[in-house]
Amino acid sequence: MKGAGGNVENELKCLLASKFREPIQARLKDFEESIKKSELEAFEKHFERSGYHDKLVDICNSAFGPESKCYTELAYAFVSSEPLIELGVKNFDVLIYNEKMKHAIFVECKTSTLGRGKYISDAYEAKKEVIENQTYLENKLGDEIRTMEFVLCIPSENVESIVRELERREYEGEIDVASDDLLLIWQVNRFIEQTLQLFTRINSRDKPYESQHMDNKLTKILGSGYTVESEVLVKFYPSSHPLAIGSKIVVEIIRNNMRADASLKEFSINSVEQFCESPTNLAHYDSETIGKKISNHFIGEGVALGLIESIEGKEGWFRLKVEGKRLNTILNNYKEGYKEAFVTRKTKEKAAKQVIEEHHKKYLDLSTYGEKSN
Amino acid sequence: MEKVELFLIPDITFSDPPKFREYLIENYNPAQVVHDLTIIVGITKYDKNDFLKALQSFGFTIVRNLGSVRHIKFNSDGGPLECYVTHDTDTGVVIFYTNYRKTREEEIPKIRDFLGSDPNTYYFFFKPILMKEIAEELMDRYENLEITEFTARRLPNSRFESQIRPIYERTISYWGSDGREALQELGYQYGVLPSRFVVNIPETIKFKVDDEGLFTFAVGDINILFEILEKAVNESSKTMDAYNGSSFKVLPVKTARRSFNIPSSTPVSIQLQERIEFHDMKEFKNKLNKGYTIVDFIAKEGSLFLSSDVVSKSGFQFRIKADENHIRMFPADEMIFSEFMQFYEFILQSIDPRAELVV
Repeated sequence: MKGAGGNVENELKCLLASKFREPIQARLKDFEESIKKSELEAFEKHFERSGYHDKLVDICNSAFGPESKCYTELAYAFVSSEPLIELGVKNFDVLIYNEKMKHAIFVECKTSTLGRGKYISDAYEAKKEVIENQTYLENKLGDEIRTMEFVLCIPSENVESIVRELERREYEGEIDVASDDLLLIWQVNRFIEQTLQLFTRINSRDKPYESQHMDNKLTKILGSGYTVESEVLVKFYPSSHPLAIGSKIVVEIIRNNMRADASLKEFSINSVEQFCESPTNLAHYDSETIGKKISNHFIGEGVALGLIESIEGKEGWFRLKVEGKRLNTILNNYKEGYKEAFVTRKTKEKAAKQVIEEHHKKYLDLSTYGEKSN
Repeated sequence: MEKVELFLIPDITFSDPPKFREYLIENYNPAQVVHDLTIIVGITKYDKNDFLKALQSFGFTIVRNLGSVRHIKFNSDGGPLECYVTHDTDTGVVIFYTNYRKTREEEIPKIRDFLGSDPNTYYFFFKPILMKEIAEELMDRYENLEITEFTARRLPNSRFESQIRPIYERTISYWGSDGREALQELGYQYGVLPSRFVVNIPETIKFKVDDEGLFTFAVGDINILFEILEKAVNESSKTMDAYNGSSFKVLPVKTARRSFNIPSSTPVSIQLQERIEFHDMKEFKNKLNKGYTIVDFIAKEGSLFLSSDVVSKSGFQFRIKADENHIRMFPADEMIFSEFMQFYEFILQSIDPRAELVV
């Protein structure tokens, strides 16, 4: 069928310039009205889910933070979030490295039980990418990787459901249980003092060590549950929701301008880049590259959504196009403005697509009307 | 304008702050002093020299050095303010004593301004539940005690027992010689806790205390007032320990050829006596939003997981994490003393009047 896969925007323009202008406009309005609510809900759900995911990653990182027992006693340190994301391949959320043992642990955090089968496949795919890119990772890490482990980190309330799926795959031979690097499972209890624990009751595995870490000492600490006390407090991760990242950037802009007694909503691209590239704000081994992308996206998307404008005569300078004189108001207006503009854009895109599809269907039906009736 | 002179302390040297209080117990004579004696309690993380420097940079000048006591002065357009100040470096407690009136804009408020504006000091607020205990202990001890005025509050959605419409937030101000009975009756019926009261123990003492660390002594045995003050001040070491236990550091994690800077935040932990639950989160967010800018707010049911990044009015950033029984404050930069105190006060005033710092 024509239309759906083509250039929707151009096609819609053509239709609006044609004799169908009026009915097309009316249908566009109908579709937009019916789509908007569900788009808004989808946006909010996605934003919320992304936030939960970041919080799970926070706990996971923090169990291996520089003040944690896992680091101070056993030398396992959180060094980077989302290794390999810069290559655009399936990747893990967290890289933990033990400099003494030259051992790397890659962790994938999953917050929901929906698509649990896919989680497991994705983790195995990401594992393949890690193995293929080992030399690249060693360069980024600045050290060799002699051994690796791969972990799925799950909120404790979901662990049973995901482990059952893992067991099914292992029983049915989809995963080779004889391999010496099976996925390990960590569960996080977020409700009582943030405890991270190695989960070892995986029934598809014959030997207990298959569900444990190579390092017995780590198994011991995590086996009994490790309570996170100090937190690795970064501002965002490479895959955090763009609105979550944007909010942190807006706060930084306003705080800086308040301190400097400068015009509250004006900022330079350099200051945003500097903020996003800082490894203390974005914990990634290539924070410069990723931070620059995030900064460009913040400005590009902000301009596209009508929330940011460039300042005439001041190259590299921009202004937040949101109302408000205080941080609280500006931030809330930015969030609301982002959500509204994003959802509107998405709604218009979808409505246009549906109108074009409908139009083509109608056109096709009419063109074949005579043939059918004969 | 009325001429006020600071009550006289001769040129003697006090070895520590308690010695000054002992001196006042023996020698302070309200009959020889214009106006009541106001005592303002604060808390600071400064050491001795830095505290004096902070006072001076705010605009106070030192008139006399009396060992552990400084006679200080603040000159402003509205006239001078003079007071004595002590600083107990072990507990962080600072106490200002003056008989200048607190109602004039440019007088006592200067001390409050200093305590409220300096990032390393804060006024010493008394927990609502501590105020209740103080009132009850005094009533138990002195049968003839009268409470002639009080203000008592009930927090919104407080689970503190209340017979009448417990869902309402309320403030009751009361004037009357039967305040002793009224405070108990209203406390029982309306679930309010005192935030300020005026005490008269005939032939013994007359004074006023409020939950912002402000005492006003009119007449009588000042030792009674110092005993109350001592009780509150004992809490200060816990406060300082909790503050000192928190930190924000950027620490290097090294591999053979690289070093990664990882930010690490150690929180202040507050133990709640009144559990918070997921269905309280909307209310919690609304209260938080009044004092702070909420950057994100993520609450999950099951029992409760809460994480919220916030910014204070002065621009200080921190993360709040909570479960049903604890609220933790993770600084996202070097912890600022006044921000820590302000947040703890917010929890006490808005969430749980019995919340305790964990050390």
